[in-house]
Formats: sequence, structure tokens, C-alpha cells
Amino acid sequence: MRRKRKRAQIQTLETVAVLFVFFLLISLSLIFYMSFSKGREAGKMAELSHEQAVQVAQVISNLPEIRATQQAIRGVNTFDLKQLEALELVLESDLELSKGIYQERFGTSTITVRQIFPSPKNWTIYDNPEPGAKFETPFFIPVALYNPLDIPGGNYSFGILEIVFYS
Amino acid sequence: MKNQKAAIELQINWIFVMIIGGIILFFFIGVVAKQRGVSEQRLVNELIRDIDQYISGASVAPRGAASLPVPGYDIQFTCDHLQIKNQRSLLESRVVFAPDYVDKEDRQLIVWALPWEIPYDVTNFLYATGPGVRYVFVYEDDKYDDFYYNFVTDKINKIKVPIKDAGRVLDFVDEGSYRTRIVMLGQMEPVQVPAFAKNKDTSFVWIPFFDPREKLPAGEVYFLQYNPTTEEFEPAESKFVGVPSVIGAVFSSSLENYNCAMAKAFKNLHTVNTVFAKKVELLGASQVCPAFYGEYDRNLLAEISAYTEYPGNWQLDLEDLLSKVASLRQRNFLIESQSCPLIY
Repeated sequence: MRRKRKRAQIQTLETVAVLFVFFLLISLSLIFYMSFSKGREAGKMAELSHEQAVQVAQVISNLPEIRATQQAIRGVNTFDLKQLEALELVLESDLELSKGIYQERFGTSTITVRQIFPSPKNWTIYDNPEPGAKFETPFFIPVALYNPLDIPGGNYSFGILEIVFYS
Repeated sequence: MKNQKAAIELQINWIFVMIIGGIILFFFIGVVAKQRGVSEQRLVNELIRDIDQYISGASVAPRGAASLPVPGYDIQFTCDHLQIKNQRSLLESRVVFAPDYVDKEDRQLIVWALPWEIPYDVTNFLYATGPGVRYVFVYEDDKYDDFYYNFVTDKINKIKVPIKDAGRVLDFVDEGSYRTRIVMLGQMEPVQVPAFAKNKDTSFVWIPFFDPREKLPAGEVYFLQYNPTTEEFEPAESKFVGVPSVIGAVFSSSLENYNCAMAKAFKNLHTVNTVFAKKVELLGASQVCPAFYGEYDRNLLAEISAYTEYPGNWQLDLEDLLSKVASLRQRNFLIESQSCPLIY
């Protein structure tokens, strides 16, 4: 009788041991999977942040209020310097616009136009960084800057549109 | 008795194994179900993000009509957002004209964008629809063939139908479309729809006076919505400004959505106008071409700005706004002829 009881106890202990190992393996797999998907999510977030920076760049480079027109011809990635200056002043003075429609368009980003040639000059047209942002994704587009004041015909300089997107 | 005790112990052992087995089984069923839900949600998120990005791109850079694949989900549109399942994407200042929903059976979303210029580029109007939405164009003779063939994309499910003389019934067959939009162009006597189309899935839009070749056509547009109580199509009036807004009226699900999208367009106009007004101030201060950029130009832009300050009221005094827009266009043309910096 004692031997039979002992055999049953051993069997139960075996089952518990198997279960213990089984759950241990499951827990290890879960921990591995979670850390793997966490890394994947971080990669995805970085990719998203980059996509959003590209989206803002696309919006800003096609914005009708700064895109240069000369004799009804619109330049590709060409900004009118007077319009750029005007937008900068409007966004500085008109909070309704800067916190309204432009915040919808540009979100948490900093947009700077840098003139590189012939002389360096900067215009920060929008600046709304996110405090404690995990990602700061920069994106650059070469642009032509059109100065309409040099009449007739105006003149062009070379610059870079820099977008830093925070997320 | 002792044997019986041992047998009970063995049975308890098996019951224990079965309970644990059941728990493990349920655990895995739960994991699979959760993963299924998560991957579906991920698919919806990606889909909505793709559509959103396409709309953003199209709202700044005009592009031809394109079909975006949509894997088996209804897409609902309002003036403010688009929605797939429980996931929403806000449209914010983007101007989108679309039916109330695009059915999952369509499996594609047709999108198209046109620039709205009044007189300068303001924004692009985006149109979205599905192949299951039918657009029936009705007009006398060949008066609006130019508009039908050259202005409205061939990607949408459109037909031009003649009017049968007897009772002026429109002659088209039932193709099982979930939405039918009848577009009447030009002045005409009332028309009747076939019996199968007399329901809430059919709606009319009527533009009595309209020349698509005009620089900035404007006028009245009537939306006729089916009332199941009276079993009649009841009219409501709005206005259009420019060919893109006529097409907007054709694509819009209702008068409310059309008016709301147009109000957004006027909000965009106000924004762009504010920047151009500031530009004129800067040009005036620069003393280049002193004959221009003075009080007259500043007043023109200030009046456009005042008119568009409350975009919800865009239909009031529209003629006044259009006269200011025409003056601004002339002024810009004059400035251009003098080789001076343009206003826009």
C-alpha cells in the first residue's frame, strides 16, 4: 500500500515538474517575444516619425503662400523670399493661425529655410518642438530662393529646407 | 480498500492533468484570438495611414485620378474625418468631397485632386469615391459634353443618359449600385428617375447655369435628397465657386457635407490671403515699383480677408468677393506687364 501511494505521489510530482518546465519555457518565450516586439515597435515608431517628417516636407514645399510664381510659372521647390518673410511675420504675430491651421499642418516640428549661396541666412518659419520627444527626425530638401525685388526678373539663390519632426 | 485509495489518487492525478491541459488550451486560444484582433487593428491602422498620407499629398500637389486598393473594409467619410471600423483620421483643413461611405465590396478607393484658384492657388480639392457609386449625367443635347468628357475623370463609374420624352424619365438600367448620383446640368424641366432608383440611395445635384470654360464660374447649386415620407426628392440650395467646387458638389454625399467642405476651403483662402497681404506690405515698404503695393492693393486684400474671416458664412455676398478677386487678378496682370514683383 505504501509503495502504491508513493508511486502516485511520484507521478503527481512528475506532472508538476513537467508543468513547471513547460510554463518556464512559455514564460521565456513570452519574454523573448515581448522584447523582440518592443524593438520592432521602436523601429516602427522611428519609421513613422520619418514618414511624418517627409509629409511635412511635402506640405511645406508645395505651400501656395510661399511657392514662387513668376509670369504664371511656378518653380519646383522654389520659394519667394518676400512670401517666406511674410509667412514668418504672420506666424510670429497671428497666434490664431500659428496655433490653428499651421499647427494642424506641421504638428510638432521645426521648419527652417537656410540660404547657403551666395550668403548664409536663416528663416525659422515654424517652431513647435515637443518637450521630451523620443525621436527627432531631420529631413532636408534643396530649394531655390527667389528674390523678386531685383527687377526685372528677380534673382535666385540656393538654400536648404530643413524640417525636424519631433515625436 | 487500500487498492481503492490508490486508484482514487491516480484518478485525481488525471483530473489535475486535464484541468491544467484545459488551462493551457484556453491560454493558447486566447493568445491566438488576441493576435488576430491585433493584426486586424494593425491592418486598419496601416490602411487609414496610407489613405491619410495620400490625401495629404494630393491636397498640396495636384494629381490625376488614381485607384487605391482597399482590402475589404467600408470607408466612411464625413466633412471632418474618414473612418475604417473604429479607427478615425481627422481631415482637419483638408478639403475632401466624398459619398457618405465607400462599400467594402468595391475593394478600391478612387481619389482625384484639382487645384482651387481664387485667384491664386489656395488648396487642392480632393475627391474620393468607389466604383460602386454611379454618377448619371443628364443634360440637353450635347451642351455639357466638354465638361463630361474633359473635366470629369473617366476613372469613376459615370454614364451620360438621355431623357425619354414621355414623362421625361431617365433611361438607365439597374446595375445594383449602392449609391446613385444624378447630375443635372443646365436649365431644364424636371425629370423622373426610373422606379428602381426612387429611394434614399439616389440623390440629385442640379447646376442650372454653368460654363466650365469661364475663368471662375459661380452660381447656384441645388441638392435634392429623397424624403421617404413624401416619396419625393426635396431641394436645398447652395452655391459653387469655380469648376472644382462644381465637381465637389457632384461627389458630396449631402448639402451639409458640401457646405462644410467649402467652409474649409474658405478658411484656407483666408490663411493664404493673410500671407499675401503681408507680402504686399513688405513690397510697399521696399520702395520697388512705387506705383504699386499701395493703399489700393492693400485694401483689395484686406477686403478679401474680411470676407473670408468667418468661413461658415462663405455664401453671403459671394458676388462682392468675386468682383474683388477679379480686380486682384487684373492688378496682378498689370504688375506683371510692368515687370514688377507679383502680388501672387
